[in-house]
Amino acid sequence: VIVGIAAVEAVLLAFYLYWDASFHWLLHLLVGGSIGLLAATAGAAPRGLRTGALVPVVTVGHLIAAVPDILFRLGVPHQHWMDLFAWHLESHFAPGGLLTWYLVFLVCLGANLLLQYRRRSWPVVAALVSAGTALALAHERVPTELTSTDHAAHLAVLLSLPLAAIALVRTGCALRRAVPPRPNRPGFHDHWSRRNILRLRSRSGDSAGRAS
Amino acid sequence: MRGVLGGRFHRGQQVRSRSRLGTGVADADLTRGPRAHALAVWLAAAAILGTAIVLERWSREPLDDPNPAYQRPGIVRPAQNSPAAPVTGLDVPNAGRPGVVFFVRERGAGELRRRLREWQWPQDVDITVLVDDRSLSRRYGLRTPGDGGPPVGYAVVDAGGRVRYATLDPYPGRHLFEVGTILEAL
Repeated sequence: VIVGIAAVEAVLLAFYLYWDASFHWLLHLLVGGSIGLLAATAGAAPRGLRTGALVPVVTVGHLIAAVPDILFRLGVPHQHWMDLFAWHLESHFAPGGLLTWYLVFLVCLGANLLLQYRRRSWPVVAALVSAGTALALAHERVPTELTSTDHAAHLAVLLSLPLAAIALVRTGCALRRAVPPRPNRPGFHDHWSRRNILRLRSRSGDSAGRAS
Repeated sequence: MRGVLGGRFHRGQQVRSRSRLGTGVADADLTRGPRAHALAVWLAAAAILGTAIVLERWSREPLDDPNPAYQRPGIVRPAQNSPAAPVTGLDVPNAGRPGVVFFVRERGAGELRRRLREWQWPQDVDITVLVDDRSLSRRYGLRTPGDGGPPVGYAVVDAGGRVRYATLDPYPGRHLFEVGTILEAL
């Protein structure tokens, strides 16, 4: 998985460098990665689930954010509705540029890690607020001559994107839980051995381990 | 490695969990490793991405737009929001035909002209190349580059004589494909 992800990121980086657009590679990595982390974290938070692999989540977010640029190379110029792809257009105009999205990314990553390892869910709210604030500020700075759509409606749709992503992740989690692991699936034995350990601990009240 | 990078549980956590049945390691010890690992992941991400941002800033050129958000945005202005192109004695604007005005410095003019001669445009289009021009480029809406000198970039004018796209581009000859994409979207 890691090799595949590294290959995807390498292809994306080569794609952007070829077109002299390293700024855009980094911008969409930070924005798409932030949204991916936010969706994975907030989607799993209500059940206290582990949020899974971070690098694949970031890469998927990056790929989604890069879709308009891939379309551009196929002859389709950017249009305002392409903000559906991880705020592809308006994210450019956030005050502070890359630095702002860098901080948002670190907040989202920190929220994910705090949820995983310390079971703290308040950072998820902080991550949502930071990403939403950055987006709202970026939206206000978009040059009006670039847009022909309703400004307020566009912002409302954009702000609803993280909620849609969270709903998608939660649906995915529910579907995953509904399917029992197959015996020949990688990780099956680890999964069930851990379950048995936890079950044994709960039966014995954990007294045997502490006593010794 | 599984856990944060690729799986459901942290490797260290699994090993400790298994050994715990026999040795009785306390809860705090059970999670200390993963917490340190999480902090390491966060710091590594901060360092790698911070370095990438520094490298990106370092790689910017004097002819680039000081705010890269405005450089080669790839979005065509709606006609109703676009200003009229300044009327001059040049080939562009020409009523009923789209056109592109390139703004270059003396140093890159030769290469751009060579590439333009070889390039096949998707449609009939008027081309004008202006060298070291400040006043007209400002009227076309080009921004001032980082070095404060004459802009290097291009403006695309539609058949109605409106400036639908204007951007700085230190290497317009390399990106003629982009100009063609914008022209096709008019």
